Amino acid sequence: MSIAKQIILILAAALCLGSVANVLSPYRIPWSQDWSNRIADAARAAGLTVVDVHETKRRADDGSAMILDARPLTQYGEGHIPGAFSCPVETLEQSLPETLPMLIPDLPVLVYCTGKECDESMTLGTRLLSEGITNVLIFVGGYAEWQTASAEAAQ
Amino acid sequence: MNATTVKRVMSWGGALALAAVFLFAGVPKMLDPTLFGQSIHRYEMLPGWAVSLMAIYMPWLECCAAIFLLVPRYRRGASILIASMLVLFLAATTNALLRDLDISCGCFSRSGDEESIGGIHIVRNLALLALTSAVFWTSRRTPASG
Repeated sequence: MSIAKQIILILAAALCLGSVANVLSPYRIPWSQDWSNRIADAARAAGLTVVDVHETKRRADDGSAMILDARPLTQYGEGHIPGAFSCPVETLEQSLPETLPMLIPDLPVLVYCTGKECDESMTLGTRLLSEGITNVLIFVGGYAEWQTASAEAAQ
Repeated sequence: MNATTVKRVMSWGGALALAAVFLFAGVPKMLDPTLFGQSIHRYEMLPGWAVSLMAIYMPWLECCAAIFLLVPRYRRGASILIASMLVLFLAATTNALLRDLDISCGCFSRSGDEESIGGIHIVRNLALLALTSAVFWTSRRTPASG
């Protein structure tokens, strides 16, 4: 069999298996999507309210939301949004029972993690919804965008 | 040990090593194309639809090429595909380094928690490329290679 035929056969096998897997697999993804807004789109679809850095700053300043940091505790220790409480998703089964009694009824909960690509805030937000917390906000830009905005404001 | 035996040992040894590397790289991505897609997206080289297609098909191509590499009559074709993928990875890594992107490689871990890309990734890709070339040339004249 010629090399060209070998290559075509292997490519065809990968193409068929990949296509079938992406139709049948529980891990399938859309054939085309905007990856830069993936978390925001998923958050809206899950029922979370997406907020930007200005809204986050306003709520951090006036205390009109309980802010939860979904990153690991070490990252929280290195810096966090003022007034935010740590609720690490990596130890959610331990951190959530400690956090839930602190929540004030009718006060929105705002969650964030590292930046636009992280999933922890999404995980925490959807978990809060499933716990019956109805007004959950998500700051998709996360701590990276917070730091950038803070640096720009300081100049 | 004559030259033919040496070539056969090199061909099988190299093929087994490359197949292990590519299966180890491909299977976790196959199990979570979303996180793999995020890794590709961080390179900022492709539009969204291309990221999706790569996230869907690249893990399967890695695994299929790895498996066909273990079948002597398909070894040369599989070697060329693996070399093509390595050149692609090399180009993406070099491009990201030139643009000072602080991203993880996304080569083996689907979670993106690997260390940031650096010169070590280029050296690793070059070493794998050299191994792939050795597999291609040593499989060339083996009777089983068809």
